[in-house]
Amino acid sequence: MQLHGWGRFPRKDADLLEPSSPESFLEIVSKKEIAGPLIARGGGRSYGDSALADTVLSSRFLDSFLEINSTNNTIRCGAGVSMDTVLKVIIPYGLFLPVLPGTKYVSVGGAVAADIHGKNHHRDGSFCDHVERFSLLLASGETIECSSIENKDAFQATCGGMGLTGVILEVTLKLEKVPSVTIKRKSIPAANLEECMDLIEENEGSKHSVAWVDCLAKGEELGRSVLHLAEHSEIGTREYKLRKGPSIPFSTPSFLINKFTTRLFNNSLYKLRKQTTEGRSVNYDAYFFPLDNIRNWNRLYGGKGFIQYQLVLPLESARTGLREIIDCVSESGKGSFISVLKKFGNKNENLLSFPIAGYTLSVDFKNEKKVFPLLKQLDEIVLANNGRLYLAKDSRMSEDVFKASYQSWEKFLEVKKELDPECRFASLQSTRLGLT
Amino acid sequence: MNILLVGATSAIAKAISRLYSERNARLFLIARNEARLMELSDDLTVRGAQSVDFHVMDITDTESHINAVSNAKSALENIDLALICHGSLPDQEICESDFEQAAQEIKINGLSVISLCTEISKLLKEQNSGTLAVITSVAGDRGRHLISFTGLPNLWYPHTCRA
Ligand SMILES: Cc1cc2nc3c(=O)[nH]c(=O)nc-3n(C[C@H](O)[C@H](O)[C@H](O)COP(=O)(O)OP(=O)(O)OC[C@H]3O[C@@H](n4cnc5c(N)ncnc54)[C@H](O)[C@@H]3O)c2cc1C
Repeated sequence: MQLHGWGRFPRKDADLLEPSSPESFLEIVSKKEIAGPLIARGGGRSYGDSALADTVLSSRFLDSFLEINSTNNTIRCGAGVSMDTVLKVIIPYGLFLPVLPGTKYVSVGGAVAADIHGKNHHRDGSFCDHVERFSLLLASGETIECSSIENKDAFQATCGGMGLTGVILEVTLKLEKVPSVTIKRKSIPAANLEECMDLIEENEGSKHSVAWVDCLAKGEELGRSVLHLAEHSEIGTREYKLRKGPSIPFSTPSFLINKFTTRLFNNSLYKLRKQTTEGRSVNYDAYFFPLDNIRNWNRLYGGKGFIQYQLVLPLESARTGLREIIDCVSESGKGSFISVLKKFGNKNENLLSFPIAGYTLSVDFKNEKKVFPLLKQLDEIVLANNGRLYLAKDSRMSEDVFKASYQSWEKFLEVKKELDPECRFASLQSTRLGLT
Repeated sequence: MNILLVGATSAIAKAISRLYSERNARLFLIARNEARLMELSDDLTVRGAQSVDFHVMDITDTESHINAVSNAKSALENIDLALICHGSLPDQEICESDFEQAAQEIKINGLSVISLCTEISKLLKEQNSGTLAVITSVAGDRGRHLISFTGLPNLWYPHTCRA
């Protein structure tokens, strides 16, 4: 069947297997008849080709919970359980996931494999900083337990390792105690990029912080944005809630995307035009997952799909580098209206994890021929500023750019060779990047 | 709500029991594989079930049905809903040429269900409340052969359940 990531580009004819238990994963992985490359797949929310290969192993049925410990605040579950399902179970205990991506339909295994970050990276680090341990099925058929102490090399290569070390079967997560899941939000408009970055720095004490940047504004207004800050409210609900919204039933002509996003952005700007909105209370779902309310919004970019370009630049060069990037995007008129800017805290020790201390920006581009030279140009700016691109969003980075920006790639390959000497686990992405 | 699920590790029973767990139901599970029952009961407990008990049973061993149902009754006290979800997907061709196989399928998909329905409905009548439902496959209604083994439940149960 034809598979693709969230960006609907690229596409690949693949055998999608849905093993019903860890034992059937073992059976398939140890079967030598499946000669071609294998890769695990969770919720399919990575944008590009990291979960595409000849044979794709879905974690859909690794969907059981094993234990919740409300004394230690930990939960153990199958790698196929989604963030949404975890939230449903833990919220009534007054617990919350310490790191959340922009969609709740990511699987726990996918979150480990990309070592995802949330709007609180500057304070709480990335997802795997809250992973106590996991079990990993290796190509040999052996299952090993990994933590920051036990099989440390395998742990550090698997966290952020995009499925290339094996299949993550079960994960134990450390959870966070929260007073409620009502979120107190404050939104501050910023006239341009400089002002936005100043505001981010000034508000570093805020638990969650993310800016929506208008990447089409030019000149004085370059990088005009709205900074959204948030905390869990002391008084509020402890109820899990699923908002129900519309669905995009089929791919729409891609020109709609800018009308659509423009309206969203203008709405939020409109509300803020006069003043900062102070302490508005919203449900966690609306704050953390604003786009989940529109099912299949990725179809808005049309049949050819889209590319999300997410970069990070280190603190030293972030201000000038980001200016150059946004300038380039706004001149091209190609980026989507809304882009997202966040500040990262320090990096961790995982070999292929994306975050480094600095600023990260993500911009969506409709998939069209003319966009590729522009992205190459952006790659050069990113490299010149010692930055890198996020593997979970990537579908087109070159091997050279990858190897120049992920300094630990050789160490990663050493560990991979030990865990998977015959290189059974490989994706379209890992082959493109020269990792397999 | 107090729910008895027979064939509890089948995909459909698992999905149903997860939904009821979220509503803090008390569950009693019956299935053949103890390890899978243990896993499922952990999963349902984390998902919010008020209590989960289980009983290991081979469904074709109809003599043990009385005991299983009475265990369910002691664990749940009152049974609000009993769902029979077990079944196999018989191979029509093999059944047509191998009597042993056909008899086995009839036991799994036919006799065992009648036996369970009999025991459970006695109990529900005593309670004077409760619902008994048998989950069958639409495949049984589709393009039925003269003697269709997949269609057995669809043919038989309407009568037994009404009895
Ligand atoms: C709307 C939206 C918002 C997002 N926001 C954020 C954000 O704020 N921060 C962020 O960091 N990311 C974000 N992402 C990206 C997303 O969090 C990552 O791509 C994540 O890896 C997706 O998980 P998944 O379960 O969908 O995995 P998939 O997309 O199916 O797979 C992603 C990778 O994980 C591997 N993998 C999956 N399951 C396993 C397993 N069991 N064992 C081994 N490897 C496995 C795959 O092989 C693949 O390499 C966002 C994505 C979307 C669509």
